[in-house]
Amino acid sequence: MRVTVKEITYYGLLFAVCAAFLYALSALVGKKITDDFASPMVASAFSILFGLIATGSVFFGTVGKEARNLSGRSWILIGLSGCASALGVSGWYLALNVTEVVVVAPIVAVYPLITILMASLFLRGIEKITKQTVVGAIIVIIGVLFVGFGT
Amino acid sequence: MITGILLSLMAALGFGLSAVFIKASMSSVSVKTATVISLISSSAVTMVIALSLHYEEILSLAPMAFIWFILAGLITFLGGRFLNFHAISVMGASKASAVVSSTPLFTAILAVLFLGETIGFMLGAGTLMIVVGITLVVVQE
Repeated sequence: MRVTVKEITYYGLLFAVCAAFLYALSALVGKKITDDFASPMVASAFSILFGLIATGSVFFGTVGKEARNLSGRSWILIGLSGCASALGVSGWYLALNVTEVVVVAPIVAVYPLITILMASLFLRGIEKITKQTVVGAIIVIIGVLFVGFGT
Repeated sequence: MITGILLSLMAALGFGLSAVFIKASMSSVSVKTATVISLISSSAVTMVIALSLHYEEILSLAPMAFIWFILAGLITFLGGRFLNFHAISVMGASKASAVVSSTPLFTAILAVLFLGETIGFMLGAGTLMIVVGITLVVVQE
């Protein structure tokens, strides 16, 4: 069976929407944790630790085989991705400690534009950035701000 | 105020760069392995920050807190990050980031469904814009 480019894109959309839904569910669980048990930074650190243990256990076979043959470049890029994501989470919580959410939320919400900018610089030949993608991302960001301040 | 703005920019830069680094590595590694290795470095960074800022709090955590940490870890990382990386692998970092950034919409929907919040103008207009934006990002010739 041949899978078309359009079908692949829609699979990607399905994965992305499911990820967004799970992140939203996680925000509700996070609210329960920070209301009743721990500060956001501690909650985040332990959630990532247990996420690592769970993910590592489930994918142990594949990861064990692949990790041995992985190039140094791949290790560095993936490691940097994890560090960048951790700095994102930490920066978000630390920013909320020193200033108000009305300042933090709009700045953090523009991250898809940063991804687009960085992708246009570092992913040339891997990823094509169109004007439509940029316009779509800007509209999503404005929509997210509306939703954020409307609830 | 300046510190807050700089930390917010650091957060946006971190989230933005994470997707780009992962996409750059995807030609030679599976999503499963990328998810696990990225979690190793994420865990190291956040644990160092948490231990240096909240050491006393960590020592006094209630046992029940760990059940919730495990639940959050399963949902956010075994589920969310794994699917996010799959989306980046298939659609590219820029498109996947735009779609995944719609998370607050789903949070609002869950709040309406389970916490009894009402749908006001801002939520309605925001939802419409997110749907239009995602359609523009995904449906391209």
